[in-house]
Amino acid sequence: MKKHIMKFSGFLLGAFLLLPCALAEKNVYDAKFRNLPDDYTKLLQTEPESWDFRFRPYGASEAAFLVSDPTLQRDVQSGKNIEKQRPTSFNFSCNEKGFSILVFSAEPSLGEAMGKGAAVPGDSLELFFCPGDADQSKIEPYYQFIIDQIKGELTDYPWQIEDRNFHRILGYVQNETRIIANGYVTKIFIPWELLYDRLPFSDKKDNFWRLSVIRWASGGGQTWGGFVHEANRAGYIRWPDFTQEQKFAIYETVLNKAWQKYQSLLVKVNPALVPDMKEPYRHPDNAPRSYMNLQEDRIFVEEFLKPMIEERNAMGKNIATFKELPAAEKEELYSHVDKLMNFNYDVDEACASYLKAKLFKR
Amino acid sequence: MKKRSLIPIWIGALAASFCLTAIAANPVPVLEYDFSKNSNGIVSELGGTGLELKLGENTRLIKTEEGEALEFNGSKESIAAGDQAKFKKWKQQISTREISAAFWIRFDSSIWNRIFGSSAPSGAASLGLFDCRLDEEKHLQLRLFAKPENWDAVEYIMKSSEVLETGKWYHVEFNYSQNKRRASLYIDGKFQFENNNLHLPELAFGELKFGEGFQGGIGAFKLYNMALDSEDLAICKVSEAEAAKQQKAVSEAGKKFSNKYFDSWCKELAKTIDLLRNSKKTTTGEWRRLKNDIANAAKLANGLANNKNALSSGVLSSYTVPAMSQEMRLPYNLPTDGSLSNQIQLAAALGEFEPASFVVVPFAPLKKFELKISDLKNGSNVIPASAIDAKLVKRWYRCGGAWLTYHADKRQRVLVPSMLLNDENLIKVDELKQTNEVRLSYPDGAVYKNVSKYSKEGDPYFNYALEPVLDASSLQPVALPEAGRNQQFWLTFHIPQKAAPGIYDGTIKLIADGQDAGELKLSLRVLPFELPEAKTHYDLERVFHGNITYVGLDVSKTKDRKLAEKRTRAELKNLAEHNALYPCGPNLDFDTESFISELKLREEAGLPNRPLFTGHAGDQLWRKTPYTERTDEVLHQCQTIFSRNAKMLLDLTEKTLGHHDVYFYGNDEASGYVGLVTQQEPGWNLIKELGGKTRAAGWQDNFRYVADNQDQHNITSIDKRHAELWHSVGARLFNYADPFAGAENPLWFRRKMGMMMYLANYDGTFFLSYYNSRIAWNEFAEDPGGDGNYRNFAIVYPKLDGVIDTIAWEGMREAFDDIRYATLLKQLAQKGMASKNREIEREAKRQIAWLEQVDSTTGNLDTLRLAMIDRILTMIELQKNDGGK
Repeated sequence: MKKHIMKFSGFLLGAFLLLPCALAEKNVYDAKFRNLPDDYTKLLQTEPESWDFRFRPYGASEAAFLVSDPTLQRDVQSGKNIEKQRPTSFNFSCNEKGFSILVFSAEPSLGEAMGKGAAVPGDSLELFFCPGDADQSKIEPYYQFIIDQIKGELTDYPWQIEDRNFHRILGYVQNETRIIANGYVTKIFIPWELLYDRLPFSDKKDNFWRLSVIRWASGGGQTWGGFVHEANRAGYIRWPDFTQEQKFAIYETVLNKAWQKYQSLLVKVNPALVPDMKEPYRHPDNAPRSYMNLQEDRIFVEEFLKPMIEERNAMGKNIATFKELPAAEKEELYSHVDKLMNFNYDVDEACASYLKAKLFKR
Repeated sequence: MKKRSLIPIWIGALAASFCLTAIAANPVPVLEYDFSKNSNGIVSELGGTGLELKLGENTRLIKTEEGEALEFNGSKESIAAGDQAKFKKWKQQISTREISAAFWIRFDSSIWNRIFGSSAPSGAASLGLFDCRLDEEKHLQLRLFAKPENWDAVEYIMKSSEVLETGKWYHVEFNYSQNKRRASLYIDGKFQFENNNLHLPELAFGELKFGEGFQGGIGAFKLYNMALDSEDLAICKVSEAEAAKQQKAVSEAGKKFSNKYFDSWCKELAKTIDLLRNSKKTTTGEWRRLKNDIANAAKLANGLANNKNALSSGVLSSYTVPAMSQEMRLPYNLPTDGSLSNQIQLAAALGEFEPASFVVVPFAPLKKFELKISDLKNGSNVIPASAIDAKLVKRWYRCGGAWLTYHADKRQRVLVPSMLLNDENLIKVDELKQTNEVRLSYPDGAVYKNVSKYSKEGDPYFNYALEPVLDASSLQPVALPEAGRNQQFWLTFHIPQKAAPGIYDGTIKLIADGQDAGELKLSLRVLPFELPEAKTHYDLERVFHGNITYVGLDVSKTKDRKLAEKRTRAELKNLAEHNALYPCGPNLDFDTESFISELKLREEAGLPNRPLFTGHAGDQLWRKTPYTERTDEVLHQCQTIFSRNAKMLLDLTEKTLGHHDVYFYGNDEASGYVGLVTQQEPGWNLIKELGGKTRAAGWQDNFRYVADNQDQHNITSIDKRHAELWHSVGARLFNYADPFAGAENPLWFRRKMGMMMYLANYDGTFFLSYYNSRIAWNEFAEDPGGDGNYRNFAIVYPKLDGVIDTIAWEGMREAFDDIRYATLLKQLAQKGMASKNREIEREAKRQIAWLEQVDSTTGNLDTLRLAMIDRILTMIELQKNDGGK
């Protein structure tokens, strides 16, 4: 009997202790393809089910480490169960332009502070996201940024050098915070063109991206899905099964944005800015030996730059009539979008070939 | 990077015989039953363990669409069990730290009430090793047993998010990794569960007994002693259309390009398509990798067809790639920033070290691949082959965050290119288990030490100064164990100081299993100038410092001064050759003899020894007393000790070097008035009185509070505005945390430590660190004395006789070389601007105007370097033609 009692007690103890183990699973949020209303703050009332309140206190031990992060001094407090006083929730959706994260940060002392004419309590949000899930051994650069909700300032921390395969989020991401009666709603919008080569059209059965939304507020930190810099402890956003129509709408947006980007990059090196007027000083005997601007070098312009520009300009017509193209041509056109997005890097590489040929001329 | 299941098993055996990287074999289950091998009520285990299952009277063998399976009716007579004594012995050899499993299951009942040993018919599938059951809401529960010694859990449960149907077959996949502290459950390849908490109990297997009290079926059971990703466990049914598409791709590749080795590879790929299409065991991972191989073959065929400038007739081909690239050279990724070419061209100044790189892709497995580098010739001028150091780029496992940052995400392990080795077998990498082992070459034989185990209690770190981690002295033959699996090689050219300028030609003969496999043509343009020391952008008289935290001559680790001096000498030479001319130290804490000795070793290595960044904050004893309780007496006592030590250091420096240009470190990362003024002032005032200089690392507060007393600041970011502030008070500004060592990406260091800081008017870098003397090798273990969630801050790895270079460290060298080229261009331009020759004056101004417009954040640095060379040559030629004026 004693043995059975011990066994039973052991079981109960085990079951009790086991509870957190069994429940402590990763947050998963199912994203929807939809357009947000202009007054997205009302979604809290109209669609409460689309908000995820599963924020957890940012653990004390994890937060303690942050003190030693020299690149960023956070106002970190942690380890307190504050989510009941200051609940946080978020809503995630996407459309043909990009994806939006809405974060509701309840702030009970907001009314009191404003009533007293005092400054409103400050909050900041720290976000990490990264394509793919933790069920892989592949390195994906993660994006990290912090938003001061009162000032509206966004600071990003890129962990790659900007190049043709990695574009910094600053300049793409948009954010705004609206103050409502019991807190703030912050909208973060990330356009697809930032991630034009990492669009979430995976053939994996679960099309996940990793996302952490961390709120640093007076009284303690809260997190949906993970810890600073630990992308693989983040929660998962499950993308919808995009229809072909949705996918092509995204392609069209990105192609148009890429076209705009190409035009802005072209301005910097456009040979048209330096017309070849056959000026006497350009005679080979008098020509400068080197130039301050790339497009002044007529040899480079004729041999490299002009053909590159012609190739890209030819894409414009198809972008303008994208909707009318057959599906296969849409895919084909999109496969060249990097030529527009990365025109500057292509020019740089062409320039390297040109200079190398000069250097190794015998 | 997982197994390469596509190619026949013999490759695995072949690989095992000559290569210490576990790549080519299938991940072999440690226990496997597909129930097809059975006779007289006995089911054989497929892996040769001899752990047969004896079927009960009522256990039925059935055939399903997915293969054979066992069916249980819940009675005691339907249990399938093995020999428990034999099983007990077997499981003692199997670690449960890293496991994964996959099996088919069908529940015929969802009622489970097996608690306390009831054997009533239920939906609980006792697989013996663990349980799998449906709960009341028909979610699948996978219950793994914890070892009895776990105080906090009796079992670990993973529950499906999906509701299952009874009477239907499901394929269950799970993995459990204590190394990564990750456990996840998938059904039919779909995600169900992943843990959020980090604590995973130690597991124990139950009995080898299937189906106790279970109504339903179990099929194709596989258990692995490694935590495979779900794709390597999930079954993939390859459709006929998909197989046909891949066959077409292979066939087209074969038509586009042909040589006997490539053809044979394509045939193997075609065969594997059929094999995987027809197998019921094909996993998603296998199929994905096969498709990747086929895409690579197609890409190679496109690139090699009619390409006269590439290696195309032999057993391999080669990509010439930029050495400084953000693109990771991983085994099955073909370079996107390089070209299939048999030519390597580079330009370098006299005395410069310059890297070049190529990636070899074999079309068949090679046991022994070798490089034979010729002398380089320009007419009668010769640069000997010995001026070219060839290494292989070793890939090994690091924490998540690798390649990107110094922050550690221990939930992930990633294969990353990093070390430059002569002997690939110095590090044994298991790409299935995701582990690294380093070879310790003891006189009586080599021993491999696991340096990748996760442990909460830390790791029994070994003493790198004494343990025999030794690389070969030159590049050893390399195994290329699989068709399509590439290997990157790295060449470092050291241009002799007295080489005659001009274009030198040479070759690298590629020898595969003793046979000629083609040759790469080398063209080196030796430039007619030497590079000056790096100077700041804003003032050509001021040095741009390569300052790096460095342990120095530490006899305490070896208890043998000669041995310690030998490794220090090698390290200082390495530092000097990588432009890190101002390492921190020497450290007077060790002993006076070591201090003086290290100064001499530095001089011997060609380091300037002026200024020294040596004095530290360790003896600021007044900081131990809260400033509110600090009496004059305490302060005076502490200051006396501090002053004595500082004076001793300055006197020793003066005596040994003839100067006392020494920077003393203040409070690290302090902020606020108290931290910066109240705590530092007592020491810094003394330093100033003694003729020393002050420095610290921190943020903006340093300028706010101690700009009047700090001679050199180390800030955490690169921002021209900070430089302007510090220069306004005559001080110098270095960057110390953007970045720290950790990331393997060479371009990250080249850009940040080079042109970005240079054009932002910084005075140098204070880099942390050369290597981590405490946790030199294993970054996976918790490091209780460490600084939190960081990696190990290493840009090189210590070996007994020096250090192992990394591609990141080469990035640092190139960063400074970029600045040295810019410095030379500015020097020439400055001289040219003073010329009375109008053509020279205008050209000189053009160079300055161009340099000022360089985009240091996104511009291609290889292009920038070539442009600087072109412009330097222009200025030299013009000035030469003008009589050198």
